[in-house]
Amino acid sequence: MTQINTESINATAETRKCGDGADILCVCFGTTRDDVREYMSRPGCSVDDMIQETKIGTKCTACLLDLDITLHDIQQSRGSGSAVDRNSHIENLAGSTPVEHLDSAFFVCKDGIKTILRIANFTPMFEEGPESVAHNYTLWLIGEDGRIAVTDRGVIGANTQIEIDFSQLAKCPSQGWFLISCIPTGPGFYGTLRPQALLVGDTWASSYHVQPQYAASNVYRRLSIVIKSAKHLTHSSLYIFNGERNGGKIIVEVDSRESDFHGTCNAYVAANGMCVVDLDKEIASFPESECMLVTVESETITKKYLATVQPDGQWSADHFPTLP
Amino acid sequence: MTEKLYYYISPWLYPVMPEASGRTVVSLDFQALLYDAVPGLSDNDALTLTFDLWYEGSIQNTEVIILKVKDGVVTPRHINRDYGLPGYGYLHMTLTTDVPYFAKLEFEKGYGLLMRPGGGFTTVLPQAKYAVSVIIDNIKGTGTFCLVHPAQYMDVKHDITDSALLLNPYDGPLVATIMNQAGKKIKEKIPSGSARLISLEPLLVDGQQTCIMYSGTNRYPGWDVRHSRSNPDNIYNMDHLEYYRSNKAFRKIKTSLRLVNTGKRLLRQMGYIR
Repeated sequence: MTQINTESINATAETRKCGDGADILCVCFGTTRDDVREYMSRPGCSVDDMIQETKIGTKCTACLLDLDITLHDIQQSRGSGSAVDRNSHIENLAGSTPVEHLDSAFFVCKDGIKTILRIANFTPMFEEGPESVAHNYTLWLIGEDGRIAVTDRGVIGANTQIEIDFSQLAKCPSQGWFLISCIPTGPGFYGTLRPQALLVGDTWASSYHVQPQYAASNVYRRLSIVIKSAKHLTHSSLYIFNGERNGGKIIVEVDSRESDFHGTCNAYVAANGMCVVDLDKEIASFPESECMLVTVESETITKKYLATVQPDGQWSADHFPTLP
Repeated sequence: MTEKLYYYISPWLYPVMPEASGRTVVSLDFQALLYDAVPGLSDNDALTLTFDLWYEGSIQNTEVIILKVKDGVVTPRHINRDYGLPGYGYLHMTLTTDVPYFAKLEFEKGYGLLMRPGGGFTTVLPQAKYAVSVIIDNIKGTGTFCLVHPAQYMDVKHDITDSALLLNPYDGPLVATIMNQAGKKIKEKIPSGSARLISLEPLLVDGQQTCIMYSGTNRYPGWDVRHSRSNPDNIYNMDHLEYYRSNKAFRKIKTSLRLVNTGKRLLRQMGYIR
């Protein structure tokens, strides 16, 4: 076992605050931001010479990000040492376009489970600042058959948050998928706006992120996810939804990474619809305890989520990763 | 034009939980990972993959595996491991070589899994130790390292609560600051090479979702951990904390693209497309 001697580091470490020029930048060698600024203001200075002399960033390297930003600031302001300009994005908007964020995920509102969508719109650490800007939103709930069941519109004000309980929306299907569009009304940052879906049951709660709708794919990426069986079961279902106006076949392949096991099943997803594939029901028998890769091949471009229902009824859900 | 290549990738960090919560499973396909990260998947007989299991400031276990690439084939292709600890810690995975080889420092990762003792699992996304472009942009845009989760939740009656698992994989201690929208704060010192599960109950309101933000004296990776109040080892779900995103709300884009996007938006609002 290797024991790290943190005593010498602790002796020189100070609590750091972002943006304060007197603060320690490199804990390992006690170099401050002012040290860096002072060094870089010398005639004929270079970053390499500074690093060689101060040793900054050469031990744990955790400060390299901060060093990069400090050097960037120095280059921008050249000696003034000004902090980050948080108004830099308040620019001349001539010719600028509001950036729409269009995201999607699945939902379930049945058997005692409800889905609640949460969108928060705040500045970093809730500080006063110009980053948070109101966004108009539109939410569509789409059933497995591809029909829009609910449309909900509103505004997420700056420095506020909203919560939409799907089970309270009239005509909410028992399950399906949703699209959420957020469009800014003025300059600022997207910030904290990425929606989070909360699944709530009687004795458990789980959350998962939405994913950009453009991340739907049927080639190269986001087709596969790793699972592991336990006692010949996966406890897993795939929620596959289709953003295209044509329905299409789905082929699910499951390949063990530890043996020759291969399982497959077929499904169909309606135009703009969703299908659910329960792996334990569709594939006869899994290995007792092996890591497996689940791959979804689809004729149309689809988004995929994995939901695991634990033996005690608790859910856990996540989108397919962006793996090739 | 010369393409810049790196000798290493930014290390990956997987949270490792107490055995009572389950074992962290890491299952990696290096054929897929390197195909994405190495242009042409050129030959290399000295890719060093190192797994260090960290707990309370010291390495409990180290494993080194040499990967080889020959004629576009990676050997060994699959690596499957599982880990548990007496408490909260993490797996530190590095991949290095002795020649410029990788096209990027940070590339797509697969999920780890937390296999629960009673069966079933939850996915766990590893985090990169450095070079995360979203974090770099976050700090450049706002001056503040900031993670966020808009939907942290507690329900006493139904035995539901929420905690944050934060790691410090760096050589010095750090102090994490966790804050809710009402301005209430928790500060927690995390020693070097350690992980801490921090209960968010002081910041939560029973039965309500709360937006919570995270900052500190250094950047750090973090996960939202939802679990039973009566039995904290019973974990329902883990998910990485979200980044504060400094994507500008307005951007200059080409007129043609603007027209296409506007058209799509209109068709979507009218229900013709999704």
